[in-house]
Amino acid sequence: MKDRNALGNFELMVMLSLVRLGDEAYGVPISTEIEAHSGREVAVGSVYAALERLEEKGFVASALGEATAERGGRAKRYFRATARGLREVRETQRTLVSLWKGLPELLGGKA
Amino acid sequence: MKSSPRVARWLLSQFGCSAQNEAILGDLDEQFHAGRSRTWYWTQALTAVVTGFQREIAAHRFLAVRALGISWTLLVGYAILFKRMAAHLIANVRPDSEWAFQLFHREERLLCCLLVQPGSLWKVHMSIYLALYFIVSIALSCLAGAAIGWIVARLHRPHQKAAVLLYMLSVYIALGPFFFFLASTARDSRTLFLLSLGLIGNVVTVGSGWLGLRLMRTTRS
Repeated sequence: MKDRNALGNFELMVMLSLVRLGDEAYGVPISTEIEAHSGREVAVGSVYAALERLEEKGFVASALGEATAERGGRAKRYFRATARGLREVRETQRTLVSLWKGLPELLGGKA
Repeated sequence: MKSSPRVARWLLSQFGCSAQNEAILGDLDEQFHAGRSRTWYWTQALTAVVTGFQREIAAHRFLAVRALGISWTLLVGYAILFKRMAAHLIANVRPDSEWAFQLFHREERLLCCLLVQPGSLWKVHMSIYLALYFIVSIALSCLAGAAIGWIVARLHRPHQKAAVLLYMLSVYIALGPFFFFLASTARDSRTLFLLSLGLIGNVVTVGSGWLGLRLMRTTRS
């Protein structure tokens, strides 16, 4: 049965970026962080879609920040991982590590 | 300070369904002023519109189906009413003529009739009448479309943008191939002309749905 609270691949990347960025996590730095580590361009809209899903699941909380002229007078929305979100990330990590163990095909970086 | 692409910004502000639309607009502006290209801005804005819409529909499937049901019922109801009203309007031009009544089902014959009677007074009279008929039809379609948009928005308040957008897309997707088929099988320019009129009427009706949504949002704020 599908676990509605399970983290998807992209959602996990967003959660990890939130943890890395700490108090400075909003749309732009999150997408930059994911781009820097994955090497792929990330749409800001997709980041916000993932953040909205995560917020609905209770893994993320948000708060309005300051508005600046460069942003056309629009306020930033800062996100942070909740305790429940962090637990879910650890759980996902445990599951992935466990699945990884004992798979020689995935060792040494050869396809 | 250079300004971000206006049309892309407008599209995102009007059609962006995400609850974080303002934050997305701010982020895109910030990145644009930090040196990103106009193409980047456009790509990001369109992606945000599509992603936000998809997310809203996927997260609220029942509401999406309800929005479609309500909007299509209203649209078909209006189409039936409009057809009857148009029939009366046309019939009243020459209430004594038998053929005028038959135009209830084939309005296009009225136009064809005009085009094959060069120079007659009847033609002048009917040209004026048809021009007025067309203006009134468009105005009515606009009003009806706005009313449908308003009702759909009113009944789907937290997700009104996605609901109205879904209705508009569904009509365009449904009617697009139909009009394309008719246009591709049209034998003469008259039929094409009449098809264009029909297409304009439909585009206006459905496009006005957005006016209804704007009206709803304006009256609320």
